[in-house]
Amino acid sequence: MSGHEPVPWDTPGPLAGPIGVPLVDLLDRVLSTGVVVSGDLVIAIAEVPLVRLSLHALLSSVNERVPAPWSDGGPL
Amino acid sequence: MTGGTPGTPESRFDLDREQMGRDLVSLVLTVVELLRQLMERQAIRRVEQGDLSEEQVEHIGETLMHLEARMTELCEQHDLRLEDLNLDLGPLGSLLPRN
Amino acid sequence: MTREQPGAPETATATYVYAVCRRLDPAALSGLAGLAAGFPVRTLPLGPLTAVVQHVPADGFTEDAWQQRLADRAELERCARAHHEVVTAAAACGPTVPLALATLYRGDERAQQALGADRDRFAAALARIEGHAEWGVKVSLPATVSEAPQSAPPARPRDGGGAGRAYLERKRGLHQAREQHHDRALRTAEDIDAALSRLATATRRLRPHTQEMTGERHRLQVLNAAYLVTTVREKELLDAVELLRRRTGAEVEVSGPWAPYSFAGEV
Repeated sequence: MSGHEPVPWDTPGPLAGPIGVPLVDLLDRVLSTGVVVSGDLVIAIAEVPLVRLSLHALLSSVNERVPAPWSDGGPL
Repeated sequence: MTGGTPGTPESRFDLDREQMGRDLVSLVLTVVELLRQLMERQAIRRVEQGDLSEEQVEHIGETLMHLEARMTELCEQHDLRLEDLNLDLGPLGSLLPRN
Repeated sequence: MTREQPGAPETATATYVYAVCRRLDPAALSGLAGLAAGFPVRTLPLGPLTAVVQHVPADGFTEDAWQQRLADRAELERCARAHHEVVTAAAACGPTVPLALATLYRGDERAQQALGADRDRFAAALARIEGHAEWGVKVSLPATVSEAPQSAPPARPRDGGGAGRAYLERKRGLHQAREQHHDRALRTAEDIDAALSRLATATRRLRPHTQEMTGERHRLQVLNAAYLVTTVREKELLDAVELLRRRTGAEVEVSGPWAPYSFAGEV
């Protein structure tokens, strides 16, 4: 769990809803990391052009191989 | 801007009204604001370089000041705030720097 | 997609792979729903290694289906959490290499064939992460206070003017302040990362979350990093974080222990 006092959650429980691992942190990991292996049916999900999806908050971190050149969000 | 491809169902995700790039007016104003900020930065650099006369500095400064005021007015007319204009470029971050 | 023999009662299925580990007691996976309720989450042998897999209905897991799934926040969350639950269950039993979402094969045999080809790579990754866990650290700092343009009164022109220059001077000051603040923020991020990296076997930078993602107008995330830390050094890491919090005044969020998602892919 994130916060000032991390609580280990290594005992898997039933599927948690909003409680549990923060979604942003989870998506950081399941979407673009882990072993990238080419499956048969879906090319590695990191290559799906998620920019055009309206899930604006959570999917701009897909392709970790192309980091944003500026961290404050301005090209100037 | 996000748009659906033909046949794609509307996203059930609740679209945030403040998300720029979907409203045409906001988009236009955002682009104008980008230009305004670029011009301002360029002007500041020129002033710092010291290769402008006092008259030129004054003229440019006044022009930019009025331009900012005009942009603010325009935004207000469309129920927007100047500082809220922006465009989310996904992995590239946002178009305009965030304060 | 694989079609079963004509006349077979089952719908066509694909094999979804969650993770690769060494030997795993299948009982560790019992009761997990995974991504397709009705199909058991189970082990699939890969020589000395084991894959954690599940049959899923092929129709629901095509590229198009994933596109739709990713556009639906609730569905994406459901999938991510289901995937993570299985990975975590396996990781609780021993070193486990998590796979990213959506690794699918036409069937078990294809999965064994394809994953088996990478067996050495998996073995090396498992050896690397054994005895370690991943810890996530996110550092945020206050964003500069924006000066609302209309709140600053225009400088009164003196004889011969001066309002224009005054305006430019004010803007220059703002830009400088913003740059300095930004530089300080980046330095803080670097300092924290350097300090924590010393305690880790490996570190990896993830993309910092934008303000759209965090929903925070007044804070900026300057560091989003993952650290691979041995179990014995975990307390040291947490203590170091607390120290850094106090020293820098930055908001530092720690999450963990994670299965080592961020450290599975390197050679």
